[in-house]
Amino acid sequence: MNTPRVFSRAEVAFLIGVPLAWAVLLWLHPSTDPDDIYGSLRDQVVTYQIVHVGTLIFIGLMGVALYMLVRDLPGKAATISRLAIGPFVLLYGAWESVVGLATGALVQHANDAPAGERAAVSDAIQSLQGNVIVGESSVAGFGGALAWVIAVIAAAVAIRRAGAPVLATVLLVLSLVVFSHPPPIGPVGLACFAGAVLALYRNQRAGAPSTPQRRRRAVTSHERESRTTPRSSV
Amino acid sequence: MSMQVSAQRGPFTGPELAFLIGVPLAWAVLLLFHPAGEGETVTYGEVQDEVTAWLVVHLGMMLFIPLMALAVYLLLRGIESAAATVSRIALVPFVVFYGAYEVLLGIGTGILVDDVNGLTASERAAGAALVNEFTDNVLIRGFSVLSSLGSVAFITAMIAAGVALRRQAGTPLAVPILLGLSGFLITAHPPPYGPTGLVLFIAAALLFARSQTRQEQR
Repeated sequence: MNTPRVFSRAEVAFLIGVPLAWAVLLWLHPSTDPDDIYGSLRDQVVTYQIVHVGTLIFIGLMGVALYMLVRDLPGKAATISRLAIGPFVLLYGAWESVVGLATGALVQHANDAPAGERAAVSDAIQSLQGNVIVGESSVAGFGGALAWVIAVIAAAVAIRRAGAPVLATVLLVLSLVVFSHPPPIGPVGLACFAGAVLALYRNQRAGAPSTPQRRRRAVTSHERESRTTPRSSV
Repeated sequence: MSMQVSAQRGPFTGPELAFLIGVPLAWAVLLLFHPAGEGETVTYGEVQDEVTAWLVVHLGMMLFIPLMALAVYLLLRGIESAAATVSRIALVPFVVFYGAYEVLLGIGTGILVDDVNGLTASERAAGAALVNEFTDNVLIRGFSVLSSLGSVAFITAMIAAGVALRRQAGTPLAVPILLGLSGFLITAHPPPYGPTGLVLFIAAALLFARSQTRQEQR
């Protein structure tokens, strides 16, 4: 049994602000040629590093945001979503650290190295990116992406079963594309996540009380009601 | 000091206790195989002959960092207080930043050292310089941005958890002291510090579990 999930304004600001801020940051993500990482990044290494340090923080914050969406929801879908958030933060964060931060550090080193040594460093960067554990197409990258997809789809099912509008459900499902974070896909997916929260909030304002006093009254009334008929709603 | 016992909080179940003891114990055993190094800066020379052990230990750490966060979260099960909330919140930056630091220094360095080991002797000096430069990066070295943020978060989580548990009726003073000490030692994770800190965490968890069982029996 659960109480209706009524987000406060601060929670809504967090739930919309985090994906939008990450989306803005990701617009600055440099594009890379997988066959020549050093050549693609040597002139934009600072931007690349800033984007990936920020992305590391936003991975944790998006984990928190998704957890807030499903925190109080009952059912298997909500449980699956909550369980998948941990592996997403862990594996996607690990992958991001190597593909983003380690690569950035090596590109910076190559830029500072004598011209004769740059080819060797470039090879090391390619080797790191090709690593099967944490490279571009690796266990960590695939596992983290899969965990995000599962967490988001399960969250969409959970909120729909709790009475969320179709628009919010569809937008949340679309946000699964965030696993491919460079623009335009990542920012579009994050905008979908923010849109889903906005649709949930509008639905909540339309059907649920908005002031704290009204919320308290609604919870009390829900508690009375739930003694006889357990139900859930978003 | 106010004493409070949460209504939902009962003694730990068998599986919960097994998790609370098993995770730090398994991590402590893994850390006993941690090669030397990871002081202020790791060098190619410290890892070149132990790259497999280095990679295995750090891949394991990638799993044990979040599992340890879960263990602290479980220790605080059912406790609602400001200290418990601070501890729970601090676990997130611990997992994100300390995990990233470990992946970069542990796995990133391991992969690079493995590559350099495969070079010809004449190329190896340049490769070693690359590894040393990599591990001296401001994001990656000991006391780097990531390790500092992650360590501070974990120490905060452990101290706050100690305060939150101490406020539960019957909790001995040794529990917050052991938890606080374990926070400092675990973040300096190579042996003997890490394994010692993890054993202290187990001792704190057992003492707390025993005090709660006794409290329940009264």
